Amino acid sequence: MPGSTRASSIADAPRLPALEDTARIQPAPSVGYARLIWRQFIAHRPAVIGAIILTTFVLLAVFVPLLSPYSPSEPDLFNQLAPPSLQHPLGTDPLGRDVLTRLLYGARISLTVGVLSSLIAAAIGVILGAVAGYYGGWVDNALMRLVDLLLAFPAIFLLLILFATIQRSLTIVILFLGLFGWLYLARVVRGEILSLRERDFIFAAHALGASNWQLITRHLVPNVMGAIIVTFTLDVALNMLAEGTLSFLGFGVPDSTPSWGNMLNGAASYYTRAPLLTIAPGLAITLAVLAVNFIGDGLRDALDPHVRHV
Amino acid sequence: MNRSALVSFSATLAAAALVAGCAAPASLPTAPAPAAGPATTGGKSIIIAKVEEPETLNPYITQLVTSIDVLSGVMEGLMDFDTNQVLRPQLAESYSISDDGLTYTFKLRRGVKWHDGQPFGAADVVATWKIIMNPDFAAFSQLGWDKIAEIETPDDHTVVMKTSERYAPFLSYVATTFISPKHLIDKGVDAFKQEFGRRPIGTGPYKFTRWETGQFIELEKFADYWAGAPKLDKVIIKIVPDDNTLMVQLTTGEVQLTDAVSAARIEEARRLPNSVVLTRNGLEWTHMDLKNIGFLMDKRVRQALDYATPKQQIIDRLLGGLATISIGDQAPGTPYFNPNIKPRPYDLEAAARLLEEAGFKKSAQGILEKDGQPFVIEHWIVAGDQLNKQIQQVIAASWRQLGIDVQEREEDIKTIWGPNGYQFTQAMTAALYSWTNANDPDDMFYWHSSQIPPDPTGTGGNLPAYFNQYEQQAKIDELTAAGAAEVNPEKRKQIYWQIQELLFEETPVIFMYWPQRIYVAPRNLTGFNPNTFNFLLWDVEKWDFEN
Amino acid sequence: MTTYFARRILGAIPLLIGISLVSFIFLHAMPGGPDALLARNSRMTAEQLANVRRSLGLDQPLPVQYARWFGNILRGDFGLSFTQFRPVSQIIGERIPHTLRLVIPAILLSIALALAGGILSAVWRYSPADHIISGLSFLGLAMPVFWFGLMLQLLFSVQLGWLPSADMTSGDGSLIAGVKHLIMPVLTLAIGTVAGWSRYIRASTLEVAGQDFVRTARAKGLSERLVIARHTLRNALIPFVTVVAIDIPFFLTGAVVTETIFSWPGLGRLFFDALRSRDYPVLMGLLVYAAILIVVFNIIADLIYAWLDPRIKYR
Repeated sequence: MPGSTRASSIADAPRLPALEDTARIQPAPSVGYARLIWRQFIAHRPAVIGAIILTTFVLLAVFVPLLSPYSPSEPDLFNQLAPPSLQHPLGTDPLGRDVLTRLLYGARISLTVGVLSSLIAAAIGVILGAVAGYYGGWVDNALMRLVDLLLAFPAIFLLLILFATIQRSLTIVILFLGLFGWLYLARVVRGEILSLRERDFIFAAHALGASNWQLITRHLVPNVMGAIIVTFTLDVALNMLAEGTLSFLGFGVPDSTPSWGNMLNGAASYYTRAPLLTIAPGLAITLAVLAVNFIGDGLRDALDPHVRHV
Repeated sequence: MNRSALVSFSATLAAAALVAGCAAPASLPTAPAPAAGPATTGGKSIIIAKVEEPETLNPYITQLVTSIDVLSGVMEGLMDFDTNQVLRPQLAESYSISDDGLTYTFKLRRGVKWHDGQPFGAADVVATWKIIMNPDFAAFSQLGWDKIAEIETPDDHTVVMKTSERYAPFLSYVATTFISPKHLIDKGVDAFKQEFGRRPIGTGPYKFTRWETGQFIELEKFADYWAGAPKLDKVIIKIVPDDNTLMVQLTTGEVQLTDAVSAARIEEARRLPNSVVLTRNGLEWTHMDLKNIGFLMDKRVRQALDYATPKQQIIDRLLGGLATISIGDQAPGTPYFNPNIKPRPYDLEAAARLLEEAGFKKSAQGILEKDGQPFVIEHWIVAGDQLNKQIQQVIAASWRQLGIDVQEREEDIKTIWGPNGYQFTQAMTAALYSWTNANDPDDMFYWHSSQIPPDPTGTGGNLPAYFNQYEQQAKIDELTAAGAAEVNPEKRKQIYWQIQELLFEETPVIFMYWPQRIYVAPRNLTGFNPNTFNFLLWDVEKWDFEN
Repeated sequence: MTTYFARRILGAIPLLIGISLVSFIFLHAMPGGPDALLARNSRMTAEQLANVRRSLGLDQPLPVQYARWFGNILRGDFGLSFTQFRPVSQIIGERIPHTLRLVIPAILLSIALALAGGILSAVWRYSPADHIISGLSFLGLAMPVFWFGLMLQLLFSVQLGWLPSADMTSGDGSLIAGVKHLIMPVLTLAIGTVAGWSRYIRASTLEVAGQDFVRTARAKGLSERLVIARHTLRNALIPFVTVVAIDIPFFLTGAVVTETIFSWPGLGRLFFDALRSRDYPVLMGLLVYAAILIVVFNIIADLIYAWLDPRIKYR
């Protein structure tokens, strides 16, 4: 994977401190620049493969009602745990439902959760990070204390408590992953803006009478857009994994809608009779997350001139 | 690894019920906690697997059946139930009841010793009564014991209990409660709560010797047992929460006996070369509460839902056939079970007809409507149990075929029973769970108007009637109260048969099935005879290995 | 520097109070309390239920309950479990060795694998070995950790029958049996970090390799490998030590999922049991314990950093 050398492509739970300096300052975007980025991106082979895989998943998830004759939820008790066959390429589950069909419906949940929760996180993270970085002083102090507090929280315990007790729904999963997922992005954005703030073009804009709000939205945030996009992409992957884990533990998306995670819940009881029940959904998650990570990596290389030359 | 919920829940109820000593164990114990290798060298020993670990072995404050299962080899009551649901002597050799039915006199067995060598006597019974009634100790059940006005001990081996009122189930609650040693109760409420719960001492055939948290509990034979020394030297209860591990360990012989194999894996268990599978009826009835609110207040609607619930399919395809279809709240195999009632067959057409009769029409979207209101029903199950989820999917799919908008809810057991539970919302709900009966047909708890919780944190088991009493509430009250007071067995039976007919017709809940208890035991184990009306180690002193 | 750390530690106190307060509010906002089941127990009268609530302290207003709990904590008393009726510190204390038995080998394994993988791919940058290691890292990052555990179980326990699928030990409880039980859970716990850490080491090694002093060393004619061994590694590893220190608490909480899969009788199991029974004192104990760990290891990370890299000055 030439070019993708930064440690920051790490997308697993423990966040690494060095991630903070991932994105570098770029000149303000222009048409020529966009083309450059695109060229960089498509030159990044894994990223292109990732994009293809992801597109395939999205298309299958959207068109599965047309592609499959089966219902993802209707049980067929006279066809339980059928082995793979032409009718059921991945067999059926303990209630006689087609596993492949459920897998494709599951892609909807996984992708929706991944994207929407990361959008929420990005919105909060960018706003709070920018405000902290731009205003500094007590605002910065207060916000960063809050981030510290939340980071010091044994998040998994807390999340599980929440999920164990609140009515399970897709919305809740998305909301909570979003509300807990902005901390890291806020730090990145704050760090970037803190350093940008002191630069000449900001002083210039300020002198020309730009308001604080204009400064943040027009000058500062666009300049950290690269970092935001990269972090966002990696967040999508993380949140897809989080959904899988939560649903596997029985705390996530309710069973009436198949998700890759909840398909794995209880699958262990069928190891001997239907190992595909365990293998298939996990492979699907892995593939999808891998695709998103590749894309994130490609984006980083394309958006971050510093990385390219390492 | 997720096998808790429904079971855990009913198990919990059963155990709590049991404080009075007589409720029945639930079939499949539950939940998790891991295991390790206890030393089994030397002598004859048996290793029993339980899915769930006791939280405390103090019999008056445990909430789990698994604790009572362990204690049933360690502690004893004055009497206990045999396999015919008849009381047999234990610590009491005999008893008599005064003509007015208020005074019970027990003659205690002589020469009985506690595991620490102290002699057992009448003072222990009195101390047990006092600790159970002590408000600071806060025992989870005082049932029966709270009817005692006074206990006299004319000598060290006679106990005279004077009750304040005539109470038919007195013996089945009080006489079966485990008796604790006075010399340990006297150490104080806190010490008794904490220390006894980790190190129980009884008069039973086995004495408690060791407890490795999360791994195993070890019992050793008590040579001075009053009925003669037991045959096996050690009984080890190993905690094996994972069902794959359980099957593997049954195969390798690391675990020899268990009541934890689920119905879904019964075929695998039957193939084990050195084991036999035994089944017994249970006292646990799985049903769906139909909250008496909205459309569900119409009897025809409730009956329609009964017709639309494929119980036999669920039993055959999901429970391996190991359950008996249910028509009421009295266990098949007991005299109180009414054999004349036939369950409603699975019949969607009959259901549709009843709904039409009740005034429902299908909307353009195919949803049933009445008076412009769509028929939306929340279907609740207890979280964490695969079987529950599967049953829910099957029922929801079936009801949807009728045009009912079924919304699945899966919640933590404590959430369900807390103030935010299904029973306290205005929505129409059907809730799937089990109650476990005691060794007495008294069912006021489930149906009587006095058992409607006064508020969401209040006590009581008549949940469907929280917002609106049943149409036939007066009659139900009258019959259930009469049943609890009646002492003539034949008349009592007639009352409960009548109650079952009324309940079947009214369908305040959908009666689903009575799951069987499944035991896997070594082929060469003799004397093992699981008892519907008692606990796992009830006859452990008879167990032995054939050569 | 001493004052800096004194300040850090003092600063952690309000943080911990905040965490305990938020945890407390969270727990009590949960629907259904520890007494919920008792209210549906046919043997329970209203009066008895009131007794139970009083004996558990649930009859007091929430602020009073918190104040009591907090006061006891200051004296090192975490209270009694609502279900086991014995001290929470004893209950948690029993589980800690079990979890450590899993976590310590996992950390060591992670470090070893990450160092090997990271350095190898840095030294032989763009070689097939580098590509394979990078590919594996990507795979490791994309795989749900719990699924990796399930696949290990499926392969090594169910299909091959080589390793026990759950529990801490079995059979005669010998060392070998214990090790066999450890293999899969430790691998599962390690996999999440190995991939991340090895990428990190690779990157920081390469970054340092691009710096002036290394170029100087290279210019002096030292061989590439010697350059890396003598000059690059030491400087590249400093931040890595910090990363490890910061991530250690995640191993402990990450053990929650691993313990669930492998039925390991550690803190994670305890957490789920306590959650199910709404055992507030145990849950609070676990939350506070985890928060303390995170804070302490963050401070340790700073200390190590300061010790390893004298250039850093603390105010």
